[in-house]
Amino acid sequence: CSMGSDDSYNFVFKVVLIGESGVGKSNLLSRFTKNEFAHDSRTTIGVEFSTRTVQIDNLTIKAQIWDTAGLERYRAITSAYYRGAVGALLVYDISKHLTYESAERWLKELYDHADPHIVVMLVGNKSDLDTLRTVPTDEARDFAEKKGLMFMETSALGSTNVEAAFSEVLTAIHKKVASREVTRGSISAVTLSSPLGPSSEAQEERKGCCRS
Amino acid sequence: MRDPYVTTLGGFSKVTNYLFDALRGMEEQQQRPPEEVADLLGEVIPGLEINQQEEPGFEVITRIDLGTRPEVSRKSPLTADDWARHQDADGRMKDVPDLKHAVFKGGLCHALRKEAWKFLLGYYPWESTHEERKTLQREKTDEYFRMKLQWKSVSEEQERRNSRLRDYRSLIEKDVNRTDRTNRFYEGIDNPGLVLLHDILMTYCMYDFDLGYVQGMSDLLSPILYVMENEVEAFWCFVAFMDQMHENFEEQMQGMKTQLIQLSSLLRLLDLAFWNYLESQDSGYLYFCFRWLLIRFKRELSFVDVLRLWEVMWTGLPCENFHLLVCCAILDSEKQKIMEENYGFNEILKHINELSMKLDIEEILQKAEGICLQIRSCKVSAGSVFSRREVGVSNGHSRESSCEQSGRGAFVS
Repeated sequence: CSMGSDDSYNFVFKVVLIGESGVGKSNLLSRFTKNEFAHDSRTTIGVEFSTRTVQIDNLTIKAQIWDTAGLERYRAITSAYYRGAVGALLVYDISKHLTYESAERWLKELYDHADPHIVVMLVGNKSDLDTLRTVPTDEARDFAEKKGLMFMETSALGSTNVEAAFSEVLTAIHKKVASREVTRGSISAVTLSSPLGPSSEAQEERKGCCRS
Repeated sequence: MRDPYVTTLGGFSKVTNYLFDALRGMEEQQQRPPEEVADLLGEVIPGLEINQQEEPGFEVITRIDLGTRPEVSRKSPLTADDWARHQDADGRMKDVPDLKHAVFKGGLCHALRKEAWKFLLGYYPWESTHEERKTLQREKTDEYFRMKLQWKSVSEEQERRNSRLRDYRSLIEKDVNRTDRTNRFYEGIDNPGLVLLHDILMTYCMYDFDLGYVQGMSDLLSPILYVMENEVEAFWCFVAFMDQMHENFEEQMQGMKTQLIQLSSLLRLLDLAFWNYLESQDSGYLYFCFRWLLIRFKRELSFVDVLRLWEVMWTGLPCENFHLLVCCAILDSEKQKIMEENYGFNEILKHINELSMKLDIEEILQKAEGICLQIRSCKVSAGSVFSRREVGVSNGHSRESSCEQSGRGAFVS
């Protein structure tokens, strides 16, 4: 029975990465889970996911991050994988205003398919391209505030704020779960009460236990 | 002596009803008469002759008796000499069915691909002479550059008022930089291969503006351009390939929906136990096969294996929709692990995604052909059955025992 850090955890949180094609979702994922970045990483077809285990408040959280294709046409398939997500990073490119303008549509898509209590962070990626910026930070922050979203600017390329963005989201999820701020039947229905084993979306108190 | 049952095209609504049921309830489809199942298989895999055993007195379809899967061997790739032997003095190809069969069994030597793919894809008619092909090439070259000039001559002002062209261009620019960049033909910055990829895709938008460019199409073009090493020929071969793949990329993604439904039906008929398992894990829709189907295994296999698989599929042998049997062959190899490890919705997707670059193309082709032969000789039979688990089990490690289980004696008749 292996006791590797990857095998024991208190919670599994499923988090989805959404947003327009080419904003850097796959690189945010690979930066967070593998500390890798590729300028020419391939387009995501369908959905993929990676996991990383992190410590938050002395708890071991297994973050299962789902990367989805940005192309609208494929959303019927990709949105099927929103199910069970307790967190989302809605990503846009700070140098491409159009990718920011579509945030509202993505948000609707997310709320249509995911838990209404899902923790959402608006993420302005490619902050290293500041000279080409077309989305002012304040404008995006105001929008996020108005919509009740968390907000951060990141650079997967420069490794700026990537760790912070994910851990803020994971911490916020944990707070929601721990404070029972939401009633059973909503977020906790998918996160806490599921008896299905480690594959269920957020599993309570499995520390020291093996994965399968 | 069996009566060969040749499927008809008439049963479409019946089949769609059946398929519809397949996605919803599970109980009523036990009531299907055998010819409907044969019809269904025929619809999913056209061109298969399915033996239908009449068993008077029983009208409830219960199982498909697949029998053992025959051993299938592959052959070595077709050489330039082999090809030349199939060509007459004027350049017409002879014994085409024979030639296609050889390509199906062994694929092509790489040096031969540039020529042979044009025939396999239908850009060159098999019966054309050298002269006719020269004429065709001239015409098609003119036509290509005429279309290329159309987008090349769009001014910035025009493009500002043409949102669709703008969207196509922006997607193409994004994707060209993300297509097979580790392949020597596309690696590095300012690689001429990238410019060709871009220009062909832009010209395709002019050729089919309704479809334009959709993500995934660059994956389909890349191996063709790599083989053709020629802009015009790569374009027309891509056009021919897109004729087959078009529906996958359309707005409503009808091609993808149809294939996922067909694959699900097929899997259920071939391997009900595994299909039931997937269903129990909310994976019966087979979304995890999405990437396989959308771009014909382009991301699952190494580049050279993609070339091999595609040329084999373009022969149209041994049946239409052979790629669905390729899916079944891969799933057949993975089902033991998936079921034994009790993988759920997430793990199934992850497992399937991670097969990428680990698959053995020759093994898969052998197995897929074997499944095809199995279906071709299968008996669709009737009778009342005790356990639905015994229905249509076909596979791998459990082959021996399931054959016994599904032997005719196991049924009340």
